[in-house]
Amino acid sequence: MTPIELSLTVNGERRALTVPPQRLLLEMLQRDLHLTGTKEGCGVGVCGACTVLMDGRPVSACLVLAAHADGHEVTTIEGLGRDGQRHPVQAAFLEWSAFQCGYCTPGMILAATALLQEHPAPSEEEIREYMSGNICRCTGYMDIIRAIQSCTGGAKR
Amino acid sequence: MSGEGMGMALEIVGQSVPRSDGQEKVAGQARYMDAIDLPGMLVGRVLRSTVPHGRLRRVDAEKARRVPGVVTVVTGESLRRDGRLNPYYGPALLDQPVLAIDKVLYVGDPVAAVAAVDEESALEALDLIEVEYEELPAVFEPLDAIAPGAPLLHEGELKPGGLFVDLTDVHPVPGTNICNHYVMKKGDGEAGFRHADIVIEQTFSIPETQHYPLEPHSVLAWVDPSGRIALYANTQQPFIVRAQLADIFQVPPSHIRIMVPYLGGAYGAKCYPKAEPIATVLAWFARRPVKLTFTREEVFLTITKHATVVKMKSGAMRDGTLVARKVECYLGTGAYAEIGPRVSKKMGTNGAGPYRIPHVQMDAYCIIYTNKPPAGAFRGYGLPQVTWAFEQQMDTLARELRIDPVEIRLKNLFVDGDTFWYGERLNALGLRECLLKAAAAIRWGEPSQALPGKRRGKGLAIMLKTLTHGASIAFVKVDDDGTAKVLTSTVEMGQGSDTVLAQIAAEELGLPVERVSMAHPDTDFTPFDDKTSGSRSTVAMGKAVLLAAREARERLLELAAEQLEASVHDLEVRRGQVRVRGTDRALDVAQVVRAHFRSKGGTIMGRGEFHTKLAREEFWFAAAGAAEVEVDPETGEVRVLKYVGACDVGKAINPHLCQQQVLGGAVMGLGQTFSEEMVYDHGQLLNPSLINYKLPAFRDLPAQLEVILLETPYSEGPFGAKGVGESAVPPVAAAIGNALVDAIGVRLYELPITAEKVLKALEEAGGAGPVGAGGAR
Amino acid sequence: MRRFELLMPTSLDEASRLLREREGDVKLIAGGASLLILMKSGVYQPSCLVSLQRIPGLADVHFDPGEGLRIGALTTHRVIERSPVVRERLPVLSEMARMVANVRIRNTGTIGGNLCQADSHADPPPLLLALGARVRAKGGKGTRTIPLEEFLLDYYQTALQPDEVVTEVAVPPLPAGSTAAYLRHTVRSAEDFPCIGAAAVVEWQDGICRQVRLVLGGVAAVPQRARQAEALARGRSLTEPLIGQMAEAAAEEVEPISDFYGSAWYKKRMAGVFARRVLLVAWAQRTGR
Repeated sequence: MTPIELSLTVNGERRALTVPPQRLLLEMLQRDLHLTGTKEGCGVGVCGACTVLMDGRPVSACLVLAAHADGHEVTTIEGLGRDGQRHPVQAAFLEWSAFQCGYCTPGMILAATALLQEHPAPSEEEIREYMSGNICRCTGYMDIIRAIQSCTGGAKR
Repeated sequence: MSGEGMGMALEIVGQSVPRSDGQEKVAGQARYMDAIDLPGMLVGRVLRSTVPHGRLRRVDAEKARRVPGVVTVVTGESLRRDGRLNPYYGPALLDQPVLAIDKVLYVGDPVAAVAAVDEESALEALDLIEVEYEELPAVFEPLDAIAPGAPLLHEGELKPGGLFVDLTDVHPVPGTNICNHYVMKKGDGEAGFRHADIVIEQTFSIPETQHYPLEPHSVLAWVDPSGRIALYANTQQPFIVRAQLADIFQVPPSHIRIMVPYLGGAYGAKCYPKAEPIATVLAWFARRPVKLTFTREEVFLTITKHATVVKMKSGAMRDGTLVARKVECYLGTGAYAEIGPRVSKKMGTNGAGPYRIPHVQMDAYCIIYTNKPPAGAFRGYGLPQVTWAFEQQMDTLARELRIDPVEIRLKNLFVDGDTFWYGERLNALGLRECLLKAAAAIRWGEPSQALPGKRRGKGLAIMLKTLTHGASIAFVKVDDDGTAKVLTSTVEMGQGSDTVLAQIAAEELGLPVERVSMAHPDTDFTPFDDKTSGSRSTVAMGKAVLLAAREARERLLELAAEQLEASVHDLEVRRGQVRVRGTDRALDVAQVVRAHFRSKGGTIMGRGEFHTKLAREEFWFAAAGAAEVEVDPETGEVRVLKYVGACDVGKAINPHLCQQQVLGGAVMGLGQTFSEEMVYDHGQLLNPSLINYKLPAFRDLPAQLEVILLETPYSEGPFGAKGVGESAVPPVAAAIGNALVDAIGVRLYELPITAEKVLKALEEAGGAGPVGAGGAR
Repeated sequence: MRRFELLMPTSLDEASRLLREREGDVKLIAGGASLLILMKSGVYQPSCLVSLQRIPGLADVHFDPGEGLRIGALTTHRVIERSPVVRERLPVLSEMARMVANVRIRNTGTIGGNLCQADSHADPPPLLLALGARVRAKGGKGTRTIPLEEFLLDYYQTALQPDEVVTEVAVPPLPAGSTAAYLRHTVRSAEDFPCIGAAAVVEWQDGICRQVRLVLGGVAAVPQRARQAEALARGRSLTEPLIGQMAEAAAEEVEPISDFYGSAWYKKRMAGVFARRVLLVAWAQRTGR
């Protein structure tokens, strides 16, 4: 099987690599680039643990061929903060302890980041709708809602 | 002396301090199994049975062995031929082979395993293993499995697991699929029913469901040049898994080392051996590190919650006083006993409900072998199943007798001073308060106002669960920079144990919580703990940590007393300073340690242990749930408008984390109530992924979700704390089932409550909305 | 995942040629949102995938006065959801697109891929069918246009020839004064395929219903038009009782198949309920009620 050569930008860095054709974006991030913050929780695009941003848009890395990321810009949880500073959404999740086991957290934070980019001040209804594709099995979700609201000046601890 | 003992104002316990694992987790840097690799590591994959019950006629792995990149292929036969290993394991009975030998017992039973240089080669090898089965008649439902003439799963004699004192009384019934029968009796059941003014009999059922931790089971195993076996594994029970592996490999337990990173959720799914035996056997044959991570489908086929049929009969007087109850629980434990016998005992112990009943007959019957994946520990440990039954039966009695459902519970529920079945005196329950607070929170007694075309109703349920037995040991070391490290084998799987145990240690040591850190389990170096499950860590390990911290603190004070030339009794430690009370004579903890060792270096140690009295339940945690629902009589859809979870936590060490446990438990309960169900066709699981196994999502949440924490201090718990990990789960389904009756007058007996079942029941009761009418715009 | 070869043609002709050469052992991949799931579970195990991602010009959306909305096959659900031209010309299509799966799947899943998958519980087919959409495909023998009703044949089966590639979906403009609605009914979780998807397009003339297209998805292998229900309304003024009769007729004429989303009995009931509800929405849009 002819390997696929691709070049893309991951967390602001240009990367050129050669992968087998069947490589998924998620596997490429975890195995080839050792970016293990992106998690696999279902493999079928339902749970959102593997959410990454491709050209700023959330996608399920478990259902994207690595080859299809060629030429695109990918942001993972590792690339969200800048210069060692937490991204405001990361800070809000920390402040609200909006996680327990933490396995859904990277995907949850990236999805919330995309939401806030699109709607800087979402209502609780809009948060529930947009975030609904990200499953958390531990927290019961309420603290995640509050963390996202706090980014817009909504909720206060 | 201690903060706890002196009744001094608490500084750290009772505060919602930030989680100690937070910075790593929001950065995506927390280390789980998926980030742990070793050079030269192989990938393991498992071939599984495609038939529900059959004899293995032939397993031919020759072609698979020749696939480039394949290092080893192991089958049950190769294990037996090798002869050095004992291929059977199991915590209650040694009934589960590492890989199938002679027979397969369910679709998904491991038949062969491959270790290869990459996943693709391993998959190619699996495709080339030839297996011939001689299919045998199979049985899937618990009641069918005990019918005369049912096919037998385990034909030979089963050896006991020999691990736990509370399981020495597990006895399979020869010639049947019954692997244990737990009986509990009080008074004279039948005589009790003769006195009753009213007798009600109902049958309830609960399907298999999944824990669905987002992280699958995963193990990295290797054998070092000296022959010692080491593993990284995402287990809730490193010491028990170690003991089981030691039996398989016929070596002393200390020949095996297990290290546990963060777990991506567990909820009971990661108790007892899961991927560990196969991974370790592969590494042992390959003599190279092997990583085995189950696919999601394999997780579905590895462990489930017990499908259960509960037959319940209750007798009561006209005023609502319960006089007799007879309960039969039939648990389908799947192909292997796993920890099912203990689940059945727990279900039996708690299954008559938290009520004073003079005559009780409990046959928490049988753990029954069926040709399905094994069932085991699941958050609530049998309570979710029986609570669905006894709380709906209480509601039925109330309705029949025209007594308010809250009143009938208040009349019968256990209060402090009552005696539990086996004679234990109950105390620090908080059950009554949970019920009253939950009822008040949904405005019990005020009728629901439904929108046109919809119907609304309210319901509630309570439960009482006993703590599981076991031992926990902790070490605390205070280093020369005034920081403390707590060594325990408690597994941080999301519940917040790292944070809560550090708070307990910090409070007792008088150190800021930031100066206390937690070790993660490493069976070579962290002390024994029975398990991280059963809501026990805050109580059992928390108490051990408290005692260890107390010992270290006493040692520190002794040293400081010499250094400050004061009496120990005049000293206090707060915020990292040892001070002579009422003076400004003080030393930093770091100074105390350094001065003692007269060097830049030194460690003060403390040790603590906690263990329950043998095989007996030690304390109780109470919870109530209350729901208001809205039903669409045209579609059968049930929407939860409000759900309230009220739990007695004894003392909330970290209130925010307690609240989250209740919220998370309530939402997990909602999934079990409305959508979660493993669907089989002749033993073949039809929905082994999130495409057709639906977990609750943001949009499925109740409009309002509320938590009430009550604090009835438990004298043996650290700072009065009890457990809270499971409390919120059991009441959910019954509270909603009862609310449904209030809304539409129809009761459902089988979980999950689907729109279709509601519509069908409504139709049978003549209350469904017609297709062409109504104004649901 | 098992090994396969990945070919990335840069033109439709090349893609069609590759499909011809590897016929029987090849799958076309657009976004991959559905195909990769079926490959992971082993339903499909092709040794070769032909990707459309490097072929230019397949992701445009524009309005053509003659043909209506022309939506390139690689247009994602998310683009349809947010496209100003779709929102202006056919807001119902944008609203439906917003209901598809979750935001991540909408960002990679394409309209062409969705229709070629021919999943009986997908959201787009019933609405597109009600809107009279046509599928354009290019193969070795040239380009052809297939009405969606003829394109969807059975579970996971379309009328495409082995070497044909869907290039666009054309949705004709709604006649002036028409209203359209789509509703989905999920039963296990809001994050689920619909048990029933119901679409209605009503053409009005002076308050009279000139024509109705009522389509139910999820009941059978392909979306079903409720023709007897449609006939009841033609040339009449809609009323609640008439809509009720239409709903009963719709429920009567579908023959649902039991599956994960419900038994045949339940789906038949829901076909009626959601036929009524979607007609009420389309009616309310005209009257502004």
